[in-house]
Amino acid sequence: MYRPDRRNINSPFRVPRRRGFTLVEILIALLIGVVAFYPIIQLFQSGIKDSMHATNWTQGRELAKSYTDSILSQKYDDLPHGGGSWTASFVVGSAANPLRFPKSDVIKGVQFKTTCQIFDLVPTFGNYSINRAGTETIDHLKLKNVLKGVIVKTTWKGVGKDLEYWVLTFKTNLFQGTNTVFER
Amino acid sequence: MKELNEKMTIVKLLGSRDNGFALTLVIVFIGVFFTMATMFYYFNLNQKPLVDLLDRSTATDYLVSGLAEIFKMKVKEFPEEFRESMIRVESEASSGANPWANMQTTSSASDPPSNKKYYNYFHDFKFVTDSSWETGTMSSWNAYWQLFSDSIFKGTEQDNTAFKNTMREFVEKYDFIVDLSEIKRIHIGLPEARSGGEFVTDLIQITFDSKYKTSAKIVGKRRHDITFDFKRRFTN
Repeated sequence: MYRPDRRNINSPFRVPRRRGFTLVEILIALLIGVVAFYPIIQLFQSGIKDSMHATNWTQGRELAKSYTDSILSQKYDDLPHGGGSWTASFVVGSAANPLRFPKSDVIKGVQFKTTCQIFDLVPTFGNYSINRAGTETIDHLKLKNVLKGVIVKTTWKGVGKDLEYWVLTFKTNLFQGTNTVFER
Repeated sequence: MKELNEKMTIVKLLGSRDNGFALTLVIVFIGVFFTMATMFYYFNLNQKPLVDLLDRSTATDYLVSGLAEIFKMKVKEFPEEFRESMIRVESEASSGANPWANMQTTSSASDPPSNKKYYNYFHDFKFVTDSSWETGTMSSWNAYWQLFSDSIFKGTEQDNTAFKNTMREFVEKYDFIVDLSEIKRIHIGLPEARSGGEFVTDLIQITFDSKYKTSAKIVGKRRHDITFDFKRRFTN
């Protein structure tokens, strides 16, 4: 019986030898693959969480800014005294255009709650002056009914904990003329 | 035909098993991807530092705009005192000194030095020292910032203490300081006759510097310039 010599390099029936992978090689390759892919998978997961966190945070910050601007755009006399509590409910603005706090907004399934505090402040200004005789004097004068401190806080549920953003600024009665009361 | 041959040669070269160039490209590409992804993961590179910076930047913006409003009010209520103080500060600056920097560093307590009484006008807007912020304590807050203090005058302040405590919490939460850096009279107008007398319109620029630390202890700095016009009665 004729048996072609497949190993002879000059034989027309020669088939090149092909080596397969051993089980150990495949297991090592799998191990390397798992080690390499683990951070990739984690990265996708943390990337999604991070993106949601940043989006919500930006949204919370923008809401706090927006409500602060709304408060600042009201007339000075339409800002009630609301200091000392984050839970107090009160109305800012005129009766015709009221802005009721706390405010609740739901954006893309996330609930944002915005509260504010408004403080009646009496600043004490140190004033330098010099009279005609050249004498230097320092007066400490208090101004009443001219200044309010405004603090706005937006809170929302983050991943596993409550998150918040604050904005703090001041409102003066600068554009309404002065009804200042001085006190030395 | 010649061009086609050349193209074929390139295609063959890229795809040649003998050469292995295409395989190299694939390995390098995947290798870079994996390396970058691993670095991003293990070094915790995410958007938090950016979020932190935006938080602090926004917080300082609103606080600065509020302080600038208070300053405008002070100038409006006390125009002559402002003018007297500015003349002296400008005179000091023209002789080569930096009164705005000295205004804070030369004063260890609540009041400016006695030989520079004109610092008092601006001192209300310098509310915490750099050193106390850098060491992570705000212990000098009450001693330094007199604007809402009731230690000198007792009486009718409604919310000064409560507000100051809340504001301190706010400043510590976002770990920043805002400081009056400079005030310039960038334009002094000519007297104009109006009903009720002659008036001068000045342009005043207030500059605040802010510094803030993120949770990763990255320090950011910003400069805030606010310009307003101020009309005063011409007296001289």
